[in-house]
Amino acid sequence: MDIYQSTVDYLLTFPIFESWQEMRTILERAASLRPHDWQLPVIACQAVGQSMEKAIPTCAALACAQISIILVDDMLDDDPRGEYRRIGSGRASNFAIAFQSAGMDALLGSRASSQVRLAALDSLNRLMLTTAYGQELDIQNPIEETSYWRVVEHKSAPFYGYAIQLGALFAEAGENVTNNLEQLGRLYGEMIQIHDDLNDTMALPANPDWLQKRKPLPILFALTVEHPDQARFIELYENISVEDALQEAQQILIRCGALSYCVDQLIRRHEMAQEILNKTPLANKSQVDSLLEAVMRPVWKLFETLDISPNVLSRKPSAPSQV
Amino acid sequence: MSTMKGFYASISSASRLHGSYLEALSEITRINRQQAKALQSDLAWQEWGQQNRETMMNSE
Repeated sequence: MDIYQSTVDYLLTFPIFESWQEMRTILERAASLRPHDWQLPVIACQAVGQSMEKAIPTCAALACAQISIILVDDMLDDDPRGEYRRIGSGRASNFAIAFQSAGMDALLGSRASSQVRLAALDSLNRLMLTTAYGQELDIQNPIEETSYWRVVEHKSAPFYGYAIQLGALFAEAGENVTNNLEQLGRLYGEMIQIHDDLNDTMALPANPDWLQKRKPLPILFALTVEHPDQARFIELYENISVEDALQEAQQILIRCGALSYCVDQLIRRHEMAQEILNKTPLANKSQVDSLLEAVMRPVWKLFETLDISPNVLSRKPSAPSQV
Repeated sequence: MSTMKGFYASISSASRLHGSYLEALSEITRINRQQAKALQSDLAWQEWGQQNRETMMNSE
């Protein structure tokens, strides 16, 4: 069964996609990219021992929510690749509203019980509401770590937490299992955000985060912590378009421990997620386990490159942490 | 205490703790940019969306 085709087929049964050709076009193109996140409800549903088919309405709801978020995110970030550049902010906003509502429709129109549909609607509504608040916090460009983690808690974690929760709800997993899976999804979302920040800061040429003076996690570390290269880093950060400034700044990020800090944060979240997984009674843990392993693979790859034994993880101190 | 400042203090003194977790993380501070590429991944939040931005409706 192809989750993406099934998701599209399911949504196309709703009349709005019949009468509004451009919505259909957006949906089909998004599905053709096979976004991994659309699989999250299925992973939760199968972990509980239910069939993939049962989760399709939740995949559809999540797909619509993600399209809606991206349409708005582009406008907030002033992203030159955004759809709003082609059709204008007004129409892009209107599409975002349409997809948000189509997501609700996908849940309401399912064959699940009234109780399940109500709980799922609540979940999807919280996903959208919390993410919108997180986006608002994010555009204020947090300048210290408490604010940074607050943005992550609202912007990145809820999407993944509620995505997994939706699948668990449709699988009728029970309150305890559903809550545990949601917590696990939140940790997963935080790990995805750390990866996003690592990618953005280490990319060549300079990512918009550098050019727009934003502060993803490694940059925030290098700006905040007192290290021998701090003054030089600030100078480079302020003039990142100067030739070779980016390469030097990236080398400082490595040298000052910013990347190490990100790795530490990934490892600690992975450990917490594993603890949750271990205590959650699931019929099939392997897919959830694979999900977590995939997000740690770059770390293990680096450890292997440096000939670091994974045994060191058992000698990890309990560090001051906000996780 | 700031987790960042606490972490920096910990790895700065990690060379005394041979074979420890902190020493391993301290070792990462000595890699070059090429080696750091191992940490880059396709796992980023909205990664698909970045591709999507370029292809979602641009068929005309």
